[in-house]
Amino acid sequence: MEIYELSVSEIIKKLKARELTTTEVVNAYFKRIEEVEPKVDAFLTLTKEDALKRAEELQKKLDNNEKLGTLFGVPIAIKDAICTNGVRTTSGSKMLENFVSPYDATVIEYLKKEDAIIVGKTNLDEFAMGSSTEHSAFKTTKNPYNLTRTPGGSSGGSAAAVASYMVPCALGSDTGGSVRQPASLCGVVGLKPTYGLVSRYGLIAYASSFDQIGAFTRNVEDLTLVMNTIIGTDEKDSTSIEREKEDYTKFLVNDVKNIKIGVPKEFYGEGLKPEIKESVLKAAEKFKEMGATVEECSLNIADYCLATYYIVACAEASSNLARFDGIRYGYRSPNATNLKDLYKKTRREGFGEEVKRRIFLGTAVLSSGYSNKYYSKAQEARNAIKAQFAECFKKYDFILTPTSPCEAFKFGEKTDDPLEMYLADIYTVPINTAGVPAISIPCGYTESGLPIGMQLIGNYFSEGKMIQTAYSYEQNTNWNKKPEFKED
Amino acid sequence: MSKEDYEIVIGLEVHSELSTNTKIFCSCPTDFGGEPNTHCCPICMAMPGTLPVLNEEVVKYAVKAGLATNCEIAIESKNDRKNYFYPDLPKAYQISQYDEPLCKKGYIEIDLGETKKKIGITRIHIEEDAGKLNHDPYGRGSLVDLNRAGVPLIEIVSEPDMRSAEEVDAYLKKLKSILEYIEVSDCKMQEGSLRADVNISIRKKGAKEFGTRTEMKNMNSFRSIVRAIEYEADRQIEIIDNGGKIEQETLRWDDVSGKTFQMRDKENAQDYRYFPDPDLIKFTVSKETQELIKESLPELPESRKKRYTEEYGISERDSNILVSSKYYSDLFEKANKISNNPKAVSNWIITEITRVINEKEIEQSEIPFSAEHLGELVILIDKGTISSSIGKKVLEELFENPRKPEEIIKEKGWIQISDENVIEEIVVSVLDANPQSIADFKAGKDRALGFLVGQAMKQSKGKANPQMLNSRFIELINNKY
Amino acid sequence: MKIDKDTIKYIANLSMIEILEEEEEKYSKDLEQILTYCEIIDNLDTSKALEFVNPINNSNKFRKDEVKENLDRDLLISNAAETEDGMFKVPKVL
Repeated sequence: MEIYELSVSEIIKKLKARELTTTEVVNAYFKRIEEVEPKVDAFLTLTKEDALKRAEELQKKLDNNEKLGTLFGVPIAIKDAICTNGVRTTSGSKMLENFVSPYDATVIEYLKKEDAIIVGKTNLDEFAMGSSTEHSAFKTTKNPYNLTRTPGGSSGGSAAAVASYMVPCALGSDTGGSVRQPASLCGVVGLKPTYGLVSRYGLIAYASSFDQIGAFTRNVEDLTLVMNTIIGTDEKDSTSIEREKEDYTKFLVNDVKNIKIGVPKEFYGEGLKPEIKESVLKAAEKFKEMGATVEECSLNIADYCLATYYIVACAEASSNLARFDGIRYGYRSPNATNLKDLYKKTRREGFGEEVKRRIFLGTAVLSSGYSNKYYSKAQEARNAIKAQFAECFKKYDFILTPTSPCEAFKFGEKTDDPLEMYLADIYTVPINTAGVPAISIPCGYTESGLPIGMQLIGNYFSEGKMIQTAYSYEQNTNWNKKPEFKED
Repeated sequence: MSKEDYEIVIGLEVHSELSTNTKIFCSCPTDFGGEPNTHCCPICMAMPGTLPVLNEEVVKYAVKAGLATNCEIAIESKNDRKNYFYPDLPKAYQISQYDEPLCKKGYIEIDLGETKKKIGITRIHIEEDAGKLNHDPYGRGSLVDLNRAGVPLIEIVSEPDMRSAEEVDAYLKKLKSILEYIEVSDCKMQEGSLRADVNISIRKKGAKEFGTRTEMKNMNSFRSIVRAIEYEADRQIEIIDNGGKIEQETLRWDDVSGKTFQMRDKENAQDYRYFPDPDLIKFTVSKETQELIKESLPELPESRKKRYTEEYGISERDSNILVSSKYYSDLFEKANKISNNPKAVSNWIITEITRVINEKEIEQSEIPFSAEHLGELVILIDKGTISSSIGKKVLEELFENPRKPEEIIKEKGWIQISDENVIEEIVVSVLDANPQSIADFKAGKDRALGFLVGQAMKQSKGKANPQMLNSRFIELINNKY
Repeated sequence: MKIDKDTIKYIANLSMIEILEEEEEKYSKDLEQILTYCEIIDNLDTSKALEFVNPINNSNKFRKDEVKENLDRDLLISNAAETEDGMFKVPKVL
């Protein structure tokens, strides 16, 4: 087995057992990156020097018998929407092409404290707005299973990096599905925690009340180790929840006998590709076999969620992105002769189409005369949606849906019609709208070999049981096909 | 129509910088001045990914201001974003409060000579200040300093209850003194920690509807506010009188020319797209907390004044001066506690101390000696250890080199002469030298006594006890001369 | 919501983003299409919304009024395109 094929937990074990050194591990991953990155284009910045330096320091720690962190020596990739001190952080935008963050996001502080090794920053849709990573200002990331297809988005780079074994784990962010959907399209595990469990301090904001940092791994056990590191109350984030930390590794138990799963019929109707429907329903059967109670249920919110999401998320985004004006940092238009021009030209030239579109949408729904019709109504709708989820969770522990209505699509397939691209998020957006947690795990492949993912949605703070349920499924199945980098 | 046929209607929006240690949403210092951009951090500089966290002291100070102005305090509150673009506003939105202010429906009572008047306070809310834009004098551009960005402000909006520049002046002075008393702001207009925007309109006397109002900004002192109001009222009256219409606009007061001008750099009628800030959560101020804060408030000027006039018998006019600031009022009360002679302490503060700080051009807060020193000074005079004219010299010394008055008089040898024998010697020697004065006194000229006492004081270099001199002169003249 | 050329120009102005005349049509069409789709929320019964009590009912996240060390001024302004005397430079207002 290659070093780069090791899981997170195996890396830590072998390092502690001194079967490998931290430097060997880092070098192995960078060698893999050299091999594969030219095909996949997952990274915007690589931090090899820093990583090797850190590896050396960590080896000394080990040799001196010091206390070791929970992710000791584990290489990790970070979505470029998360600020890393002294390292270029672009959020996939020309606006921040040369922005070097002067501070670390809280999750980065936590990772460093727990001895993880940051390997580089990954590609994304600009400002996390998109579902294919095609909207990056810099490059297009390819799906490791088929290089003519997208890895999903917006955290496409992180998903592809994990799927192609360039890193054993990665961080992403999820506002409307941006961790789960790419996880599903790239055949890896992706989690979006309950809103407020992971600090947003240092995550370049898209939609403040939807954004959450999430993680990609290749198996559920690895995910628990990353969760244990990044989850925690942060005094720098007012929306961070005050809650005692849990040890998610305790939930790695193969048992679903007392789990009740609801299968909402509305999520299996029109627009869902038949192969995917089949795979996910088979997974539902599998859960039944494993001893869980599985029933059909109703959750009629998907369209409302998408509308609510786009109104509120774009409203928040239009305000969050107003700070990008070329004055204190970032791109500054060389063509401006006066102040107004500076603003207008900088923002015209620095932002891509999709970002501008969402800013306009957000500005429109907040503008006087329209805010009651759209924004206020959407906030009410959001509460109604939360209430509907709450009803569902009175009866069921988890709701099972496909993560994405389709498998990885070809480049350019959805970029002409923005609404069509938005509909790709239809199964994932409700989760962010309600703030509940959800995980995407592999549950099959299409005829053409493309990964299929299923989504388990749980109630607030149900991550523990969710891990148990996902882990049990994983232990009873074997969806481990390696990516083949197909070119047609 | 003449000016008398019109009524001026004025409302004020006052912004006061709170004197907390740190900014409202980050831990940067709020100190005035400093090298540009050295009181900043990624948060107040609006770097990508940063988030605000509310300073608990800001809420406390704002509640104090609300309680001290008789407002209702909201139990549950939120923050809203006010979105607009300007280089001194780094996030391109100001975190403020829109439709649910922390405090509302209060009032301040102002003194207008014989009468009192209640000026309503519509609302008080918390918000962050913007940075400073330093304009290049040749119009080539501007430089942005964000030291002030994020400094906490309370905005105090009054009802349009004022009817003259005089009332506005009284309101501002009262508001300033209240804010100083409860120690939430140092209220220095010249440093920008107190700013006022004036909303002014006119209408025919007896009319029920309000006229169109204009908003005036950029007045940097109480004096310029008064001048601006007088100018703008005249301007509006002239327009209306001649059949014209007032444009609702924002005007900039120019102190040098004494006129208002249209503001061109900010657009009027902006769409601020207010919405609740999703990076912040609601905060509560329970009834219990409100009670606790209320109890912690120092006694306010109105109440102190009442005590001074009723308990100590100090005149209305003098009491007003004593409560004009917390410094004076605290100085008075503490000094009085020691010396137990309120009228004397009051006199010292109002006459001598005020004279000296005006001469020296220092603030009341810069008085270098303590209330204890003042109290001790009064005691020394009351005991007869020194005369009041020596007392004045001691006071001057307290300003120069503050220390215990006892030490000062010992050092300078200013202890009053109260030894009967010494007094006798002086009186006798003066009487012997001034036979004409003795005759004048006997002839009924009272001034002669004053003259003799004056001579005795001169001879003793001001140290002789004047009361003793006085009585000894009278006795000796009547009995021996 | 009807998004005509005047509306999209107003929105672009409010957002401080320049758009060219030839772009006005695509943006207004896109916006109109999406907003029309979003009107579906009018059909949602939001009466339940008022009864729902969010279990994550956070409130009162405060910070102590204590000064914390700042980053070096030069580091803070190091990403700015134009500075002078430690301040950010902007062109004249009009």
